[in-house]
Amino acid sequence: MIINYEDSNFPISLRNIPNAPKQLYVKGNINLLNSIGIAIIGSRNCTDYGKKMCEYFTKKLTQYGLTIISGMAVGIDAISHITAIKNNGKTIAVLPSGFNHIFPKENINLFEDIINSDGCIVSEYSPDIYASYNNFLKRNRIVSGLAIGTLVIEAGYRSGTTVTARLTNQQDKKVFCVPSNLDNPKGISTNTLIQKGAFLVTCAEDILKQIPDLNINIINEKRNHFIDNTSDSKYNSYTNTNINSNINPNINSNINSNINSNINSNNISNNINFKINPNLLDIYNLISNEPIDIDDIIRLSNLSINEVNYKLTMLELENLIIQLPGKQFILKN
Amino acid sequence: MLSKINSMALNGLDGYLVEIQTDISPGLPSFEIVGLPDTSVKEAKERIRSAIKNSGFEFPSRRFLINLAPADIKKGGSSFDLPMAIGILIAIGYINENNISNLEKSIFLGEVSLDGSINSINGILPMCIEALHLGIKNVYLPKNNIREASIVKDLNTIPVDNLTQLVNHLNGISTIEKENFDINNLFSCHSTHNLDFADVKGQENIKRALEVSAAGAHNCLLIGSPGSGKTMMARRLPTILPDLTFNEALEITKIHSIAGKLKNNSSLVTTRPFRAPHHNISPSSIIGGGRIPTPGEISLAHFGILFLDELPEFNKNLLELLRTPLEDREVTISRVNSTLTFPCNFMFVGSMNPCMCGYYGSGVKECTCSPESISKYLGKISGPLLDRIDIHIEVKPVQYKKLDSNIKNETSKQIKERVDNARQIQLDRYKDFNIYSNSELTPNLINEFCKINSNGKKILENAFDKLGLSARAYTRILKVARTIADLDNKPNIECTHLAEAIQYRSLDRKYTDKY
Repeated sequence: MIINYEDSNFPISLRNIPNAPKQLYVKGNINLLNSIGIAIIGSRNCTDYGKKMCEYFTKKLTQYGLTIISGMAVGIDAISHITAIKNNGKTIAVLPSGFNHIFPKENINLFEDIINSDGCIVSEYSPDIYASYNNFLKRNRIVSGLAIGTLVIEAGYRSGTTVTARLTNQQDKKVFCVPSNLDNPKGISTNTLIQKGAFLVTCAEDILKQIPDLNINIINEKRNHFIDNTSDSKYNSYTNTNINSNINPNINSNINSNINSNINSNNISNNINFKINPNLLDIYNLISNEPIDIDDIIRLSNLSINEVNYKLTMLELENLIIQLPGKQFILKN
Repeated sequence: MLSKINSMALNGLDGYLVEIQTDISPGLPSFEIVGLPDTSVKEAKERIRSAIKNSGFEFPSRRFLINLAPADIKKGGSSFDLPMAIGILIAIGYINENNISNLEKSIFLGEVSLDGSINSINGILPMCIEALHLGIKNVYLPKNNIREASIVKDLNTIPVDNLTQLVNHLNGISTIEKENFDINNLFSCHSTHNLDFADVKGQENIKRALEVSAAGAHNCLLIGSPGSGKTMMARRLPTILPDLTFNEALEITKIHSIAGKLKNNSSLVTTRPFRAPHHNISPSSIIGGGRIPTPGEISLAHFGILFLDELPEFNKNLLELLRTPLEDREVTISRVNSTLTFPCNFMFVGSMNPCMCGYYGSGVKECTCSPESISKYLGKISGPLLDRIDIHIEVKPVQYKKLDSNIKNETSKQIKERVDNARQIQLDRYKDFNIYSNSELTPNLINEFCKINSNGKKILENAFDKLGLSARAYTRILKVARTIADLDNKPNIECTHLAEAIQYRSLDRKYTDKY
C-alpha cells in the first residue's frame, strides 16, 4: 500500500527529517512504522566478529521490545533481520528498489520471511524501479529516519554505512558504535566514528540508557557487557570458584518478566565449562574469542597432532568451539 | 627372392608379432609397403634406401614389395625400419643363407638413420615381455634400449649399434658383445629425492594429513591462499610414499616405455611417478588418446601421484573425465581403429585457493570476495569429484617467527617408516581381496573392516548433526579413520581415530558460512 506524506498514518519519525520522502510503499505490518525501532547497519562483507556482535545486539534489543530496522542488504543487514525474526522480534527492511525488483536478489527468501513474521518492508520507490547507486544512499535516510538511533556494527573505510551515520547525525539522532580491533579493516570507520563522537557501546543496555524517553526497564546494568560475560565465566571455570557468588550478580538480581529466561540461558551456557571432560580442558583453555590457528594450538599445547585433532573435534561436537575457514578455532558463545 | 623375418608392434600395453615379408622381383624399379602402414612406416623406405647405401651395400634397381602381416591392423612408428632393412638385405642376398633359418626365433626392433646407425624406439619393454611369451629366443634391438630390455630375464637381447655390425654378426664374421646387467642391482638403485619434509618449517598439521593420505593412498585436496606452500608440500609427498615392488615397477615402466617417457639408457622406473600437468591440458592428453591410443597423464601416474595444481582453473569437463578412472582405476579409450584399456591406479592430489582472490580465511589479507563468488569458485569442483577425495587439507601460510624456530622437523625418512608400516598392515589385511590400500575399500569391505563401537557411532552421529557434514562424508571418514588406526597400530577404529578423521573433511562443512 502507499502512504503519502500528507496521510495521517505517515510515520511521525520520518515527517521531521530533512528531505523526507513524498510517499512510502509498504508491505506487511504497517503499525511497525510508528513503533520504537533502532537501525542496525554495517558492512556487507562482515567479519566473524561483526557477525557475532550483530547477533548479540540484535537479540538483546529485540528482547527489550525494539523494532530492528535495516536495509536487507547482505552482511550485517541480513544478519540483523534474521536474528530479529529468530527471536520473535519485529523488523523493518527498507529497500533501495521497487517491490518488483527486490535487491539483492539472493535475499528474496528473507523478504518473504520478514513479511511472514509480521515484519514490514518499506520503499520510497514505485514497484518498477530498479536499485541504483543513488537509491542506496537515499534509502539510508529512511533507515535512520524510522529509528530512534543507529547502531553501527562494522564498517570499512569509505563504507556506505558512514553515510547513514552522517544522516543520523543530521536528523539529530544518536549514533552508536561497536568498537573493533585496530587491525580489523572492517572496523576502521566504526572506530573513526567513535573518535568523532559516536557513542561507544559495550552492551545493549548502553543504548537504552542513552535514550531516556524509552522507559524500558533495564535489568542487570552491570556485568552484562559482552566480553565480561565470557571472560568472567571462563575465569571461573579455571579457578573453580563458585559462579553463583557475588562475582556474577545476574543470578542475585531481582528479575521479573520474560527477559529473565534469556539471562538464565546465558548462565546455563556458561556453566557448560564445568561439564567439560577434563581431558579436553588443556586445548579448550587455548581457545579464546580471537581465532587461533591449529598450528599454534599444536605448538602451545605440546601435544601430538592426532591428539589435538581428536580434542578439537570433541570440543566442536560439545558445541564449545567453532571451526572457521583456514583451520582456525574460536569459542562459541 | 622372398624373405620373412619377425618383428613386434604394440596394441595398447601388449605387443603382437608382425611378420615382415619382403619380395624382390624384376620389373620397373619401385618400393612399396603394404599391410596398413601409416606415414611414419611409409617414410621408412627413404631411410632404409639411404641406410643400406651408406652402409656399403648396393641397393639394386628392382621392384621391392614389403608386406607387414597381419595386414589388417594399422601399423605406425619407426620400429619396423630395422626389420625391413634386414629383410631387404636377406632378399638381396647379403646374408648367408645358412644363418637365415636361425632367425625364425628372433625378432628385430629399431629405427635406422640415414648413415646406417640404429636409433632407440619406444615400447621396448612390453614388446620384450610378449616376445618371451611367444617363445622368441633372440631380440635384436637398439643399443640405447638395452637396459630397458634386460629387465626381461631369459631373453637373449642383442644390442645393435649399426647396420653393418648386425650384418656381420648375422653372417658370423664378428659377434656383437652382449652386455650383462644385474636386475636386482638395477632395481635397488632407487634414485634419491632431493626434496625432504624436513625442509618445511611448521605446518605440522598438514604434514600429518599428508602422512595419513600417503599411508592409505587416499586422494587429497590442499586448500590454501597463494604462497601458503600447497605445491611445496605436494611435491614432497612422493618422498614418503612406500617403495615400489618389482611388479609395480615393471608395470610403470611398460606404460612409460610406450609413451616414450623413458630416458635413454634407463631401465626400470624405480620411483613412484609424480605427474603435474599444467591446467591447459587437453582431455585426450590427461585420459589418453590419439588415433592409435597412447596413455595419458592418469596412466603415466599409475602407482604414483597425479597432482593438479590450481584445480578450479582446469576445464570443468576435463575434471569430470577423471571421475570414472578414479573409481575403476583403469581407463578404456575407444577409437575407430582400436579400443584399449590402460591401468591408472593413481593417488589424486589437488590444490586450490579457497576463493577467487585467494585469501578467504587466510588471516594474512582481507578477502575481497563476495559470498556468491566464493561459493561459485568452490562450485567449480563438482560434488561427485569431491566425493572421491578423502582428505581435505587447509593450508595456511607459515609465519616468520615459526620459520625462525629451532624446532626439529621430522625427515621424510622418519615419516616414511610409519607409512611403510601402515601399508604393510593393509597389504596383510587385504591380501585375499585383491586390493592394496584402505582407499580402495568397497562398501562391503568397509562393513567388514571399519567396524566402530557405540561410542564411535555416537561421535559420527553428532558430527553429522552439529558440523553439517554431508552424507557422502560418511564412508570417507570411516576409510580415513581406518588408516589412522593403522598408523596407530591398533586393530580397531577408536574414537580418537574417528575424531581426527572428521577434522579432514573441511569442504563438507558449510564452508561458505559468510553472510
